[in-house]
Amino acid sequence: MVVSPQSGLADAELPAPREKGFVSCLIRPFVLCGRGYARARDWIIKTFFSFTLLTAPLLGPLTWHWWAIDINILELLFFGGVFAGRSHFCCSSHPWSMRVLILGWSEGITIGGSGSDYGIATGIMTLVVLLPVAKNNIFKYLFGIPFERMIKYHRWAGYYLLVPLFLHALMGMYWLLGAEEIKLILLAEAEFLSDYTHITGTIAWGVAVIIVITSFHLMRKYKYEYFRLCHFLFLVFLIVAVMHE
Amino acid sequence: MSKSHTCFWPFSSLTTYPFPRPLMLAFILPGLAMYCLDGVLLLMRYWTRSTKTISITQYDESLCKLEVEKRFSYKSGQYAFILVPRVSRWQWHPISFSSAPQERTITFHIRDTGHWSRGINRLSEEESCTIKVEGPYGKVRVKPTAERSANRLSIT
Repeated sequence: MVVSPQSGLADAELPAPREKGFVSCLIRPFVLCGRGYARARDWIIKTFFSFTLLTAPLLGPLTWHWWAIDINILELLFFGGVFAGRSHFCCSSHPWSMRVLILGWSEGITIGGSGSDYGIATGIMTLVVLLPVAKNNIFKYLFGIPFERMIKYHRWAGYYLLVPLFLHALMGMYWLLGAEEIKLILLAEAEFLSDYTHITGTIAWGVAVIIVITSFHLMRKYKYEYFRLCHFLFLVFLIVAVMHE
Repeated sequence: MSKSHTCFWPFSSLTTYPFPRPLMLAFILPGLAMYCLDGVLLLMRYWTRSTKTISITQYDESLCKLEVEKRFSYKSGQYAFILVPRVSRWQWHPISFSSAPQERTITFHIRDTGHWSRGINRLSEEESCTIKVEGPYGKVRVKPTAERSANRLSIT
């Protein structure tokens, strides 16, 4: 009777290893290629992007740890670009751009239609929010970032989604309640609007606010089930957002 | 028609790429497709992979050890999502491996801290139970700059 030194169990008590089937033989080369890629990727990350004696004085001061905020210089560069630079290719009226601050709201309104540029920005942020949610994810295999660390980016993008969303809602309220001259400026887009656009937009706004409020840290910690339940409202948000356009 | 006109096809397919209408679908579909694929993967694993427990050991009222068959290899510091149908049919819980990677079985040590883990601690030691193990997930990271963890213990 052979007792394995690791588990302390006899060989007879252990389950027999499974035989390799036809399908697993077929995908074997791809699995081996994937493992080779993962080894090379992990070596590159370990050597150049992790804290070693060599890189610690370089990377250490560039990393900020405070409560839940955990950001390093690479993430700052990447997400800074995503969050601030989106205005360059889709938005003419970003609140941070000097042009808007000097000339006021009207330019942004006239160039982009009645805040439809903010609507497109909200859509792009929806893309950024949805990319890291899956547990088994293409970025997990490409960059070796595990799921629980990817969720951090989902949280940042979700909070930042509220900025163009609220500005878009503000534009919609200008259109609904504003003066006649503002409506004249907004007229260029009016032909695209249906009667239900305001209803669907209001529903999407409310759902997004509910999702964000119920996903705060204390809610996740003490009322996880409510957080989980309310987070599935994202399906409502997506359907209503498609109907809204 | 000259041969060079065949160059029209790649260019036309590149420039007139049909973005879906409404445009919002273009923003939604990539992430949603990955999410749905992940769900399908999870369902396939739920239906096909069931793991038998080799032993369940209750140490005292608040700590137990599950020893299960090993179906995959993992590295130290990783965790798996486990589902115990006898306790809850829907809840996947992330539990760290307490066994070393070179061992031939997987063990989980689970402390009674909530409803689900209380159910785990009430499982009988005699009957073997079938559970679902999905993993491994995670990657060890040691943050040398984090001040909140002043004392560290590493075992290799």
